[in-house]
Amino acid sequence: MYYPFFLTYILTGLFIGGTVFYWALKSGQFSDQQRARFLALEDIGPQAGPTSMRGRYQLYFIFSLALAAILASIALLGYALFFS
Amino acid sequence: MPENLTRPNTATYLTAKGFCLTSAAWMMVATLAGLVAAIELVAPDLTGNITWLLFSRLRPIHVNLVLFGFVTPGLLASAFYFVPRLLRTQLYSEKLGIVTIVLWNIALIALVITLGAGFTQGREYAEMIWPIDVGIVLVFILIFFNFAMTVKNRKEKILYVSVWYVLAATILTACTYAMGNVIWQPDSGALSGIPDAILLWFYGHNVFGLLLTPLSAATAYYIIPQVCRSPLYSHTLSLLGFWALIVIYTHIGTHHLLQVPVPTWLKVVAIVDSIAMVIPVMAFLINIWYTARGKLGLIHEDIGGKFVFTGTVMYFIVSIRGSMMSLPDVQRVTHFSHWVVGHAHVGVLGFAGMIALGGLYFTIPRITGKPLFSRFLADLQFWMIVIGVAGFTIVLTISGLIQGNAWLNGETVYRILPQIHIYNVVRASLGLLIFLASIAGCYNIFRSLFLTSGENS
Ligand code: HEM
Repeated sequence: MYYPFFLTYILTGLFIGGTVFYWALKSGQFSDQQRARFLALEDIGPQAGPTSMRGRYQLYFIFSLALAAILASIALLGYALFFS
Repeated sequence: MPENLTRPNTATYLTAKGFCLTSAAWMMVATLAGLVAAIELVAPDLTGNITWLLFSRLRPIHVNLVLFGFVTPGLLASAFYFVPRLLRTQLYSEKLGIVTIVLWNIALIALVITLGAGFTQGREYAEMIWPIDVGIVLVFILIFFNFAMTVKNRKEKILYVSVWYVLAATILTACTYAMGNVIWQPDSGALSGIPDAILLWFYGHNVFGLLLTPLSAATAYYIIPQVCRSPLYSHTLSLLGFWALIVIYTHIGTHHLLQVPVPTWLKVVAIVDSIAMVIPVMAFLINIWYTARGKLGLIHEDIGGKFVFTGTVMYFIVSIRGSMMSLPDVQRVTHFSHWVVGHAHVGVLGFAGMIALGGLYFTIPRITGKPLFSRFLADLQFWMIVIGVAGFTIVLTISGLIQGNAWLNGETVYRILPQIHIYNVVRASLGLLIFLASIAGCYNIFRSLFLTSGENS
């Protein structure tokens, strides 16, 4: 009989999750979201140089690799499901 | 030297440095184990009768070392840097941090020795024997305690989304690891029958969903705004993504068991929520990509940012694939095949591993006050991994579909082996590329932390 065991875990999880959410709500974690957007910027790193064309091409290359992988997946899946 | 790298800083960041080294070193061991295992798929007799090099022992060593030796410590390294900074305070205890690192490494060494010697509990991602399980749970509790006390001592009232993710990842992993490894049954580490499978995959999926994903998201949410020099697109959206992840991810473990006689309602919940994963995934990606909009040049300039941003692209791919694989009609073809292995590599190496490395390269100059030893080596490692992961994805997807289709049509396993042989060869050579990348990374990180004034990156 494993249901009581799982149910206890689910209920404990819900209780802890609910409590933390309630704390967050009450302690103003969801207020002042505009300022929160800037929190990571406090210790800004070294100034980067100007954007290079090479850099752009490299990122485009990554995107095309990623796209190629997705397209290959879709094409092969389509082929496997419908044509073979 | 850039201004902020020379800024006097009282923090020692010893814990962050320790986790940097842990990750860099174990990445080499983990990828070497993977490489040897991949070669064995091509040449099964290669290692003869050396029992501790059998595929069945190397595989769990590889998988567990990648998860707990390379990726998690890499992500924790940057977390130990940015959590105190986001809270405008110091880490609660660097000493405690060092204790956790030592314990962590002892657990990893014990993991390699015991699994190599054949001591295993035989459940995927939960192979380690009981004493190691206890050690890992203890380490996560200690890390959570350190972070929680840092939160308590904070000078910034609002918890930035990265802090939410790190706290959740550490405490939830302590709980689900203990649960999933059935830690109250030291001998077997298992329940019996179907409930055990359900529990195991609840835990197994949570390793990705409640450990790697939140830690990676936390790192990206910290690094991308910094690198782009612009505020996060929406903090509200990020919190929505956080809570959605907690609610949805916990329900989808059973999508690993669609071919198993588990209750149908549970499969339905798992499938529906696997599709619903699009909510937290897109909340995260839209937020990060909108923050980076028009700033790709800045991202390219920062090697850490470059790794992290690429990791987010991989997250898109792995999630789309994941949601597709959760559909029973698709999984009838893909289950148990190399397709799943392809998905696993995009997720763990392409997404979480890339972000972990990005976190290391972003953090190291800031915790040492010196530039990286070599930007070139880091760039080289970046390209080797990108090519490796993209190659894995393509090769494993193709061979997975060959296997899946053949098996679905009632073909026997051995008759398919010649057809996938070439893909296994390519896979092993890509593995070599990634192993070499890990050596380059480890050397670079070691030199950056200890020995050098560094080239100007
Ligand atoms: C929307 C997000 C995702 C969904 C819906 C999803 C779905 C799935 C499914 C259905 C499987 C089981 C396939 C089978 O056994 O036939 C699976 C396996 C796997 N997933 Fe994901 N996934 C997602 C994201 C991720 C991420 C982000 C990672 C890594 C960080 C990851 C890592 C893995 C791994 C390692 C396995 C292999 C498990 C095994 O050993 O059998 N997944 N995923």
